[in-house]
Amino acid sequence: MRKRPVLDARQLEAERRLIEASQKQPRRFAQLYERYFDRVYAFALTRTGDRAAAEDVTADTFRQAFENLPRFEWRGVPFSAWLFRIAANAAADHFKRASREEMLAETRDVQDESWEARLIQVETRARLFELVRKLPGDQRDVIMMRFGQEKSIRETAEAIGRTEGAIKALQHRAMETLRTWVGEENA
Amino acid sequence: MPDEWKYDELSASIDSIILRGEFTSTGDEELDALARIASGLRGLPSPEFKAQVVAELLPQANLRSWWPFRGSGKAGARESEHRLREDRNLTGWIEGIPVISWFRGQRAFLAAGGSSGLVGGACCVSGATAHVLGLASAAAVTSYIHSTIPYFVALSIAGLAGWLLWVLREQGITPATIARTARRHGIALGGAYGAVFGSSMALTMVMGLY
Repeated sequence: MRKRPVLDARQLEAERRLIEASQKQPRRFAQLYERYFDRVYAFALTRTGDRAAAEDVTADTFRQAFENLPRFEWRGVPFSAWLFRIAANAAADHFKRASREEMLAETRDVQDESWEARLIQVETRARLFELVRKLPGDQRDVIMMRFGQEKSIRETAEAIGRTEGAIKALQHRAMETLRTWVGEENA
Repeated sequence: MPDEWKYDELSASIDSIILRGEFTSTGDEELDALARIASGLRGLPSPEFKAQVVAELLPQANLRSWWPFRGSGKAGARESEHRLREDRNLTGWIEGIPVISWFRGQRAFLAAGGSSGLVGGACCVSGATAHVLGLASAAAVTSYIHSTIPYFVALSIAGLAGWLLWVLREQGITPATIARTARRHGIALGGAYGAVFGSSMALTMVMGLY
């Protein structure tokens, strides 16, 4: 998937204004959260490889960002860089707490990858998560239940009130839609 | 039917991706391309989790604009701007201290715990005040505190539980969300409650009323 373009001067300025607004009115932090949730979560997931750990790291990252936002100083660098730094520290803390050998080994493996390779992986994942929300309603519901809630075909069919065959067809159609969109972005 | 075969194959492949994180080739190029997309969706965040995180943060954000957290309206905005300038020079380093930073993030929960502690200890404070003002004898105040304190404590706990349910309502009240909230905010909530309620009890004890 195509790499997300670097923010231009106008987008950076808009980001700076949003950060300053959030510093003055903490409620505005919701906009920053909405903008960066997928990328921070994708970063945490890439780093930990585990949903529960990724959720903990994501929650810690936004909590710390929210608490420390008044001290954030704009230096012309995308806000995501600051968030990723917090997320990296939160992931390290998570592994320290877990203190399990295999998890530590896993972290080292991931850290062996180049920063750029990891960033591309994060951006690709985050973009895919965003595209899921743009799917037509019934396709989106199926994908959310299958991947977001890890429901089986039968459970999804019961929850949505359709046959298992219909759910499999919707799932197939959703994957085709996503593949088309990804292909268009890469073109 | 050929379509049904494709649906079944893709579904089996997705099950393998979700449950084991394994991508296994179906032998069909087109299906494999779809399964590769599916492997990128493993761990897709659930909407409930996304809502839960912001719901934990936003009660604090809502309270920050309300006294005693921060001023409101134009005065509040001026105060906020002043704070920002201060953050960047004089007090910025103080707020960098982990304990201070922790307190800043827990203000809503500290306030809720403290307020509930005050409700619980209200009989002690009101009794002590009445005694100081000469409106009631020490014996009457002692009797009043003895007979009413269970009700005040019950009221304060009910109020605190109600506030917690209100905070948790958007993320869903489940054992997992309760456990997460307890883990993150239990110390602030319980500590503030204990400190305020304990202080009110200590006040009456020092005065020999309880």
